[in-house]
Amino acid sequence: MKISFKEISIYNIESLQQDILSELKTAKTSFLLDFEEVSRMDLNSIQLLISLKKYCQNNDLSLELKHINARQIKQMFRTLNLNDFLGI
Amino acid sequence: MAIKVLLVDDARASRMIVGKIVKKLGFEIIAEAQNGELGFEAYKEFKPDLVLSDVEMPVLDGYGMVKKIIEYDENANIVMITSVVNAQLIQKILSTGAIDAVRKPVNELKLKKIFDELDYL
Repeated sequence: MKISFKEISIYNIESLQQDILSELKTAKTSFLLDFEEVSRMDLNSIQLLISLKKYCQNNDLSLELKHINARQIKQMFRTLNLNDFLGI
Repeated sequence: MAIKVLLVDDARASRMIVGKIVKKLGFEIIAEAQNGELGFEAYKEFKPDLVLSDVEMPVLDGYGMVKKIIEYDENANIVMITSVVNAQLIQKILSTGAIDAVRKPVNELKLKKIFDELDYL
């Protein structure tokens, strides 16, 4: 699933969450999130990603995060020590 | 005196994020635990005013932890943090003895609303 937002924040996180939940229903063995368009994320987005990772782990789905190119996002993942957890 | 909060979540980053929000609201994080079993031990040791806990955790999940804490202290204040909130899940959470549930992602507004309802702020 390609994320269409440039910034993910409190203002659009509910919408993204609904999109992901909807897409997850059809996922069989893996789930892909493409961040190519995303340049910024806030802490709400990080919580959503952690929940998604845990959901995938509990439901035998592999989670793949692609095209994490934005410097702010990479920095946030490093700061929160999330690279290993999210398999980046 | 600041309200003392115990945070229970297996994801360290989640504890960091929620902890930051809780502190911003003027509360004190008295302890953190990474699963329900350690959460129960921390509850006995630190006697927090409020427990904020994830549901899905290894070793002992949130439901199991709430059950143990309520058996130990029937007046415990426990709020569950969960990915999905629907009527069925709320019923399940409340039936364990937790006082409320908040849907992830947690933010200042959501926690403030819960705390307001609990008359903490």
